[in-house]
Amino acid sequence: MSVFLARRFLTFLITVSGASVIIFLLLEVLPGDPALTMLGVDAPDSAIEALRLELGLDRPAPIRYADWIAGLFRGEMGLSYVYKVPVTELIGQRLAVTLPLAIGAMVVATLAALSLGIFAATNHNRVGDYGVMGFSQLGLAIPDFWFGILLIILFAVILRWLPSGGFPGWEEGIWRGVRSLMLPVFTLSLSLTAIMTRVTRSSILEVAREDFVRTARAKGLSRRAALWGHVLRNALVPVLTIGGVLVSAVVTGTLVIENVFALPGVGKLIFDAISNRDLMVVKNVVLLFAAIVVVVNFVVDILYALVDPRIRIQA
Amino acid sequence: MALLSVEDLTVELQTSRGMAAAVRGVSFELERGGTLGIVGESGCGKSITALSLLGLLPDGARATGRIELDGTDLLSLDEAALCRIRGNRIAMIFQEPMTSLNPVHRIGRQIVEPLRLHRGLRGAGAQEEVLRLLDRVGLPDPARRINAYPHQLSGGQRQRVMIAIALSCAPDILLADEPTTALDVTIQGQILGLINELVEDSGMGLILISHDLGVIGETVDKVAVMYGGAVVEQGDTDNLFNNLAHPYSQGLFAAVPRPGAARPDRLQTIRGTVPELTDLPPACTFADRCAMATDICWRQVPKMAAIGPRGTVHQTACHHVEGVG
Repeated sequence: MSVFLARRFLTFLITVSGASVIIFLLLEVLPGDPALTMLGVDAPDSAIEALRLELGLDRPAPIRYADWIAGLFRGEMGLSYVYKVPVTELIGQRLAVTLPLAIGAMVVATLAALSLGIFAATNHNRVGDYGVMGFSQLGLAIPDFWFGILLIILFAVILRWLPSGGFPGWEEGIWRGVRSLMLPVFTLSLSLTAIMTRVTRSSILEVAREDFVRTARAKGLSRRAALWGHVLRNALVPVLTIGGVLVSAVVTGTLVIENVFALPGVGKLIFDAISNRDLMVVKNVVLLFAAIVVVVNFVVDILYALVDPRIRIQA
Repeated sequence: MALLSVEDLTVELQTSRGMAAAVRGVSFELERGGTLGIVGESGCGKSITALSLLGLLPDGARATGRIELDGTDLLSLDEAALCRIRGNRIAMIFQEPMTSLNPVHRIGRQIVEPLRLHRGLRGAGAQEEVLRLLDRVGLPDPARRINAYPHQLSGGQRQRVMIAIALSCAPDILLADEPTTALDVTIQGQILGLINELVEDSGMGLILISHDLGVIGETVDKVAVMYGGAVVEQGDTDNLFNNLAHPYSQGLFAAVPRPGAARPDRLQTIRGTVPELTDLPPACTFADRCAMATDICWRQVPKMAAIGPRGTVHQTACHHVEGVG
């Protein structure tokens, strides 16, 4: 197990370093000088040059890359060009919004998808099944941002149950925070639910045809008991796989959703940072996203082994 | 009264070309403690016959006729009542031990299930019973194996576990559907020997399904030969093996290579192939492959009739076999 963890950690380092190089190079070739963008096109050349010096942009790229990475190992991400505060601090504040949003969406989508998928599979080729599949088709077809706007119109504008956007901050009370995250969470979970429902349903239907399910029935288990006792756990593996893949979709999804609902999260942060050429923020947030995806894949691998004993944690 | 009596059982399955009869008017009886073999090629309806005894036919299948267990017609029972019979009074073991056990559950848990369900055993009592069963089916080191997952066992060991599950509630009838087909030859003998021994000791009835005539000949007292969903010949094993009457049975037996026999240039075969269910001839299902077939075989379903000397049990359904005088 410790060998497995060590190996996984090594893979993590290699993947994240690779990602860091790619991110750095991409930002190097990105048009737009941060100093120029910050001061405006009318600024005198001397001022721009001074700012470039201040930001350290005059130094050669390999040095700047090494500085960045060395900083990361010390737990520092540098200062935001625009806000003049440590990037770690910015990300920390913004995660307080984005993490609950992303985790909430994943939890809602998983619960909904499992219930709907099981319901559809047990009503295979009947009205319930068609209904769920129709809903899922719709969920896949509707763009997130548009669904978000529809929800705002219904729940914020017409019914006035929930705020249309913005985030008061957790210090204003948990309930107020939760209320302002409800619509974003539902919006973000729509397409996730749609995809995972389909996978759950087809996976259950497939496993239900396996020989061991017939064995379970031959022992005298009812259809329902065989489903819960024998089918579900085996059917979970593909759902886990797709769930892991969807986490990256959630990460990028927050970017859109936070803009629709004007939430001060990491997605909004990187969106603004890109517009402002706040490259210090951009590269660190993108690297963070990459790290999250790698870590999630690692967690999914461990979950596989927990669900299916045939999948051994390989050293 | 026979323990199990199947009368005119017909099973229709849903196929892409509509309903097709996979079992056609099958009748047989099994006495308490009796052993019956069902022989035939793949697709002849033997497995479907077995599954219909448990009420575990594929979705959309329709079974008619009568299947009486101690006088109760199983076809008229509801699902809950069938659940009380499955694994309890009629147990089944399957061909593929590799896929017949749940890969994510430990062996012990899979054996406990019927014990809990039908005998209400739990906890230490159940555990003890599982160990006894594993020991009975000859799985080495049961105390350790109880916590093993199926993939940690060999094919033969898994089949022993399947047998332990089937045995757990001391059923009246054991259905064994090609129980040794997927196993190595040496293991086949062991498993067959175990089944024989258990049947003798416990007095349960056995229905052994196989395409392997050798396995059938060694194991059962009575044989039914099936072709195209119908029983074409049945009788006491010795009688039937010595006096094959139906052209299909003769062809089937002739197709078995005999070591030591003078070697003909080619192995004998039955001409043609088994037709799709929907393409079977309307009357005698063997008519299109039978060398003796005449007009009547295409027009009239042959009836089961007794043949052979008086006092022996032997019947066949063929227009071209003379009945007993």
